Amino acid sequence: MPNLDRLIERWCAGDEKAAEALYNLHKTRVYRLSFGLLGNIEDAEEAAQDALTYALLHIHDFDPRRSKFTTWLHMITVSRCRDLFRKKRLPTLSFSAWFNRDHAPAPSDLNPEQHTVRSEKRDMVWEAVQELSPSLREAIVLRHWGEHTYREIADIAGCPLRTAQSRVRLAYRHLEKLLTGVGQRQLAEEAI
Amino acid sequence: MTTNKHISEEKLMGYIYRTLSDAERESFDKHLSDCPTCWARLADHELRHRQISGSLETAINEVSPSRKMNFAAIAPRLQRRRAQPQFWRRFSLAAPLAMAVGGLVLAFFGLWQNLGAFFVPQPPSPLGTLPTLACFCFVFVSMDQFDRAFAMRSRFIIMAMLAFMLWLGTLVIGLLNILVIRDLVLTACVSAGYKPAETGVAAILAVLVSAVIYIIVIIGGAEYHYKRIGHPSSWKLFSWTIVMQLFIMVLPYFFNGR
Repeated sequence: MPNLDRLIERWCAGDEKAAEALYNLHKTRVYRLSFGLLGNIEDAEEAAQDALTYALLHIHDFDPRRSKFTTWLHMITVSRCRDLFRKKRLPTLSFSAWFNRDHAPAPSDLNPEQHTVRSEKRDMVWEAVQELSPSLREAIVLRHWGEHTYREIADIAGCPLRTAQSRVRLAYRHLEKLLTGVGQRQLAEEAI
Repeated sequence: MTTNKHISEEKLMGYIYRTLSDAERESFDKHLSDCPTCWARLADHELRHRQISGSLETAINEVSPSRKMNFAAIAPRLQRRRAQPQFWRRFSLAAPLAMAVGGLVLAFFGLWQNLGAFFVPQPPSPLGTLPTLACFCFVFVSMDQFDRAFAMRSRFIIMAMLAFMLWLGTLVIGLLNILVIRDLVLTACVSAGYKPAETGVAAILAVLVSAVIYIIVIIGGAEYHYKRIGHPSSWKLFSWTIVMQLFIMVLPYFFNGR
């Protein structure tokens, strides 16, 4: 396991090998966090690449006295995911689709590969997490998957400590409700 | 602490998520040892808590980055960005924003100056330096953003603002382009010795054709850019559109030079 501080130091001095080592050390975790927040493998890859590039380019801004490197990196990742999410949330505007509406079938949002991956992940909790609002999803993913402390979640999400705590609790409450609903529906289906 | 002698849901959540103070936690533990109902409620919540953690971990940890996601893909971005002088990085966001706003002001002012020419055809003459300068500003912005897309993307809101300003700029400059094309066709017909009626028809045709192209470029461009805000392909298309518009804009200079 390479020494993180030493790698950061070497990259600050311009050693590209150290940048590559830092990248390889964190890429899977950053990618998975992006996937947890966006729920889509293509978007997750884009956000993760952007976050890692930003972090490596702004390595001089990282202050080890203020936060851990992973907290800082996750803060950047969350910010990039928010940007991507905002972009996806823009209302659809397609003149070409309007012109071709009688001729072309509506294209599916997911390719076969994504369909397979999604169907593999069609787990009750995962589906319920996707239904949460972005801020609650961030809180629950950072807490349950990232195992961050509330202080870290507050830093990453850019909110007060109490807000971070209440977001995690609120997300849990929502999940509880959603899961109860799903569970009841499944029982009803099985009974039929 | 308690509701009808039992622990409130809020406190149960706090206990599981470790947000209670030490004193609250102690009192909670004391209550639990005497209350099987609260103990059962807590066990139920803890089970669901573990279920959420486990499911999230499984769902998220099942995916792994593809082979495309490697250091080689971002290395050129790092090199380009680090090669930029420090002072440019400092102004790297202010400069394109200022240029885009400046370009828009110049374009609108140029349009206002040439409003009369829309109704009175005239020999092709340069439409003033303002629209041409506006084009240079827009080319700077689009090329800077194109380059930045490989090095470091701006924040989404800034990219969206820049894209909107560039689109608005191409819309205004496009109108002036139609004017230039009409006057060029008119003069070409007159110098070729066409009759006034034929010249008029040619000018109307030129306006119609360029108006159709203009509408396609503006509306099609809007859709293209809207779907690709911040992507290199969007900035590249902006660059090409503005370079073409600039080319049409400077045509009268060559025409007059002959």
